[in-house]
Amino acid sequence: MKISININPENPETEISVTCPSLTPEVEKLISMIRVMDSKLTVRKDSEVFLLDIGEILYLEAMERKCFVYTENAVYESDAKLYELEQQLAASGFFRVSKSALLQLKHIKSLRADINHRIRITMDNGEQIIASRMYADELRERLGLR
Amino acid sequence: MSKKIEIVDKKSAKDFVHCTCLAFTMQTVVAALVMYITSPGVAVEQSRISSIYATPGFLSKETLLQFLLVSFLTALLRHIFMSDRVLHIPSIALRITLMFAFEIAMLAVVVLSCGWFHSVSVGAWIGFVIGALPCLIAGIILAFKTEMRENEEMNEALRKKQEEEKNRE
Repeated sequence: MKISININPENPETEISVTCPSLTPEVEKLISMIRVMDSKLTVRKDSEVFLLDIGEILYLEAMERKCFVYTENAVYESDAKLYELEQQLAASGFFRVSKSALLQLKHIKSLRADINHRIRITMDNGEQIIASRMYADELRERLGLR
Repeated sequence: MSKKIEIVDKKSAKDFVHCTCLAFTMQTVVAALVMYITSPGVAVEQSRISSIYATPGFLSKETLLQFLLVSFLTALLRHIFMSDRVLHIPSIALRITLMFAFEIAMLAVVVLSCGWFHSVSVGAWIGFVIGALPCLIAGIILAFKTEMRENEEMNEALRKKQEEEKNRE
């Protein structure tokens, strides 16, 4: 892959253009990473591609080798793996609460202590996610309770 | 929407055996201590009060088997009330309350069926209730208060963190 950078002070904003012979999965991954930097996530729903505003995402869940993206009213699918999204979205306030779920802190409605040191998390849309013991401790640390 | 992502309880048979062994050890140690701390002179008196001390000087095989049964039932109750496998109750305090209540009921049944206190002995039953009731009430109050305080702390910290992130944006 060839990377060229043109620094031009006359350009009003940063522009990225990708030139490729075909749209391979690697190129799609690269584009989706760039979009995350622009607070957008490429997702699919019923074979249609959407550019989702990261702020709208409540949580992400990996299930049967697929990654689902949940917003207030809809569920989308992402081609990226959960661990890749975890790295990409960490700066946007997303964090892991179990082996299969990532959620955005600003969309948490309430927290409740659960058995075995777990935490029951209620999201803005009323859905409940349980943070497993290990991740519950990390969440407590993140909240400054440890 | 009421979807909920569940975490599978990883409590295994090993945890169950561990809980049973722990309960059995505690019962045996307490019973043996009571037997050996009190003077040998009251051994006959003890055997008259409770079948646990039917054979003065040592705990009989029957008594140890009864302790094992109680330990097994204790572990079973803990397994039922402290995991999501059987019950889906969100409140920890409520789980503890129910577990204690069932534990005391189970003990009462065992006491009756194994003749630990001779059923005619009203004094022993009053002692049992006096011993169990304050433990139950104190345990419940403590569990509810702890849960409430922890939830309040977590939600307060969450609000602060969300506020911080909002200001950063």
